[in-house]
Amino acid sequence: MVTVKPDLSLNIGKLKLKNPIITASGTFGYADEYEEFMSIQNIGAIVTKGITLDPRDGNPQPRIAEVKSGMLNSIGLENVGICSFIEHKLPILKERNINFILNIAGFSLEEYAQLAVICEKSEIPAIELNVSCPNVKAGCLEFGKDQETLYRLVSSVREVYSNTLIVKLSPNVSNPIEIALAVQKAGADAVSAINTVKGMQVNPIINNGKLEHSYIKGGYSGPAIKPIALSYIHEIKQVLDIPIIGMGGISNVDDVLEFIAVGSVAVQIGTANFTNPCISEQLAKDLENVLMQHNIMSLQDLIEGNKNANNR
Amino acid sequence: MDMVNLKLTDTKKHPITAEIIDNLPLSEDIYKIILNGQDIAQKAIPGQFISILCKDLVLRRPFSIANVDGDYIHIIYKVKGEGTKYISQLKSGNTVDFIGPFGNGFNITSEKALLIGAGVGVAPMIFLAEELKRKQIPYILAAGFQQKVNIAELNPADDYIVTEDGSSNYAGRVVDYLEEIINTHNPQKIYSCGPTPVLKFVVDIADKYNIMSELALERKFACGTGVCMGCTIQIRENNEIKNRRICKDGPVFDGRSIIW
Repeated sequence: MVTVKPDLSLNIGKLKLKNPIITASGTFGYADEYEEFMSIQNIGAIVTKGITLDPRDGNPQPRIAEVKSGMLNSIGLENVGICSFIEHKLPILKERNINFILNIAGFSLEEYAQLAVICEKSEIPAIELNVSCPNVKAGCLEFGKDQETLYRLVSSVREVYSNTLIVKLSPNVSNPIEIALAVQKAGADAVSAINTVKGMQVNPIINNGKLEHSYIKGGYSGPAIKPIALSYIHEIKQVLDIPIIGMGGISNVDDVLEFIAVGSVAVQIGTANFTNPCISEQLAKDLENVLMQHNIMSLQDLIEGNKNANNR
Repeated sequence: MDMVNLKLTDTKKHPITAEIIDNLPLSEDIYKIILNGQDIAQKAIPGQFISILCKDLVLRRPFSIANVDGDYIHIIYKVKGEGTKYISQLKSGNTVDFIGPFGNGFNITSEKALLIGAGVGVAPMIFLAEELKRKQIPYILAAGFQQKVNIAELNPADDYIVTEDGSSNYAGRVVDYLEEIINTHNPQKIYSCGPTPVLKFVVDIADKYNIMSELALERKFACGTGVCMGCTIQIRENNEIKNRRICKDGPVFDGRSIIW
C-alpha cells in the first residue's frame, strides 16, 4: 500500500484537470447549484448546460420520464444564452476557481462560429460542441450526422478558437468511425461520447374499445445506455489519436474503470448526478482509493498498463 | 471493490440513510411514512420537500413534508407508480435514502389564513397549520379527498373535511365550499396545494375576493436541485413572462403570477 496519493491529473488540449471526473452537460447547471452538495474543486471539471447564442425557453411539458434503468429528457436546450452566461455565470466560475468546459449549441454553422468567437474573446478555457442534441427541431444532431458538414463546422470553430476544443458525439448515427475521423481531421483536441440515445415512452390505454396513447420522445440516458457507450467508444478508439472522454450511464467507480479500459482518458457523469448530487466528488475519491489499493502511481500508469486480456 | 466512504463536511447537503419509524395506510391508496430525519427535520419549513431514492429507480421521488416532530419527518403520499409502490412496502425498522429539504417554503405572514389542500396536497397544509399554531396566527383549514382518509392532525370540529363520497362532515369537492368559507371567516391570505384544476379554481376565487395566494406546485423533474430544467413553468414577473423551476425557484409561487 502506497501512502503517497496517486497522481490523477491529465491534460485535454490545453486544459489541465486534477482528475478525470467531469460532470456532463445538462446535469450540473452552471456549477453554482451544486455548491451546497459538494466541493466542486475536488473534481476534474464541469461541463455547463448547453448554451446557445440567444436565450431559449425550451420545449413544452412533459420534459422528463423515467424508463427502465434510465430516463428520457426533452428539455430542448432551455438556457440563458451566451451573453447572460458571460455576464452572470462566468464571474462565479472564475471566482470559485472551478475548472469548466462550456457546452455550446448552434442552429447553423455560422452560429457555432459566432459562439466560438465570443468564447475566444472571453477567454473560455474549453468548449464542448453539442452537435448531437436529439431534442431540438433544427440544428444540433443534423450537424453531427454527416461527416462533411461536421468537418466544416469543427474547422470553422477551430479557426477562431484557440483553447481546448471538444466535440460531443452522438450515438444516433450510422457512421461513427467516419464522424470521429472528420472531427479529428478538423482539429478538435478531444471527443466526448456518447450523448443521449433517441428514445420514447408510450402510454397506451384502451378506451371504449379503441387504442389511445400519449408519448414522450427524448434522449435516453442512465445505466441502460452503458453498453451502447462502451461499444461506441471501443469502436472509435481503434481509429482516433485524440483523447476520448467517455460517458453513458456511469454511476460507480467500476463503471469508470470500464470506460478507461475501452480507451477513455476521462469520463463524464450525467444522470447519476440526479440520483445522488454528491456522486462526482465521491467517484474522484473512489478512483483515487482504487489506485492506492493497487499501488498504481498515476492515472497515466493505469491507462498505459491497460491491456485486452481475452484478445478477442 | 471495498470503497472508503467519503466523509462529507456537515455544511454540505448529502443523502441520508434514514430509519423508518412507521409506514401506515391512511386510506386505500394514501399512506403516511415517518422517517428519522435527524437534524434535517429541524431545518425544514412548510412547503419544502425531500427526495427519496426508490431502490433501483434512477430518479428520486419528491415528497412535500407533511409535518416534523423532533427528529421525525412525516410524509403523506399516494401510491401511484413504481416509486410510491416501493415506499408503501417498506416496514418500520427498514431504512430509506433521502435528501433534503429542498425548495422554498411558504412565506408565512401574520394575516388570517385559509389553507386549502386537495388529495395528498393536504400534506404541506398540515405542516403549515402546525407552524401557524406555533406562531399564533389564526387560520382555517379545508381538506378535500375522494374518500375518507384517517389523518390524525385533521379535526372535524375545526377543519372543513370534504369528501366526494360524503363520509366526512362536508360532502362534495373542497372547491364547492370555498366561497362559503371565505364569506364566513374572512381570511386575508390563501395557501394551497393540490391538483392543477383545484389550484386554478383557488386562484380565481382568490382574485374574486382580492385575497393574496401562495401555491405549492408539483411537476415531474429529474434533479430537485435546479439543473435539469425538467420542471419549469411560466411566471409573470414585472409584466415579463419568465421560466421558473418548480424545484429550485418554487415549489411555492404567488398564485397570481402563474401562467397555467
